[in-house]
Amino acid sequence: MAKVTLAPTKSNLLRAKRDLGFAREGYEMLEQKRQILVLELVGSVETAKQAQDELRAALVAAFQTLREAQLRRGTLELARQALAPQAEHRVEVTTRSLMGIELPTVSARHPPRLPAVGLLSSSPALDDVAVAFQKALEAADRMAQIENTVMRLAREVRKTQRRVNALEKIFIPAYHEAIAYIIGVLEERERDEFVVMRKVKERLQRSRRAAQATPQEGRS
Amino acid sequence: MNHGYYVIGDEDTVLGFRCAGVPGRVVGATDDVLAGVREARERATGIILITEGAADLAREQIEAIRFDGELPMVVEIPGPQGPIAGRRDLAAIIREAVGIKV
Repeated sequence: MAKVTLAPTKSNLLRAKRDLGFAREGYEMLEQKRQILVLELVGSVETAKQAQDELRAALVAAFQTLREAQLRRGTLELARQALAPQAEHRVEVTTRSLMGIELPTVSARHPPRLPAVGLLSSSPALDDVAVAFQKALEAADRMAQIENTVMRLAREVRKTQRRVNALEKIFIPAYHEAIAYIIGVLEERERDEFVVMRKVKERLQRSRRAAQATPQEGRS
Repeated sequence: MNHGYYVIGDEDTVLGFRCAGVPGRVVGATDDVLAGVREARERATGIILITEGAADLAREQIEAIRFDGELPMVVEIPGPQGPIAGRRDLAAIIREAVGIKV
């Protein structure tokens, strides 16, 4: 356990109290942050599951189309036609910020496919395959975005959790202990002083009484 | 900044995506996967699609890329045989990472 060691003085007591207040404030803020992140995470996980299902469904359909095309046209010919020049898919990843965490936003541009018209053959089957896989690609965009979002959120939640725990279980109790210790020592010192003062007072009174008594004796 | 796609996987997967205009590499061993990742990086790829089977060949490296929060992003996709049964899904990964149930 981290121990806050401070000389037991009044000013240190004030400082410890101020630090404790600060730690508490920080604790509350981090706890709030943690809750918001967890909520966001729980929400995202639902979306992620959905995206995963969509991606799987899209791929199942895509592979089905591919198999059909392979049966109809032959794998080799498909492979040859797939080499035809095509417009490129571009993807752009920007970030949005949630509580200081950068979350990715994927925005992709999928150009419409050029119809596969070859010199010797054109193939509607290939077009079907292309369309099906393009759908899968779009599903993959969503998946990439949500998955990365979830990962980053999860990591941040864990980090925040650790900080919250450190404040709650270590720093705040340590400050409490330090404050209790300083207060104890200060009170003890006060009692000491009180006793000393009383002794001094007694002695003063005694000597004053003695001083009063002596001159009277002298006069009478 | 604009980036492209890249697909790493078995023959059918790569062929299918090539029909849609996505470059890729057919892999059969760990080294192939790593070579694929290198090529994807050279092409300034934004999203790498990798089949579960291919990802299993280089699990550690793929996870590292997947979790580093940088481009390229990695999306694991089921191969032509469908999703491999009994894999940890995203929720399970989170549960492990955070220790909270979601």
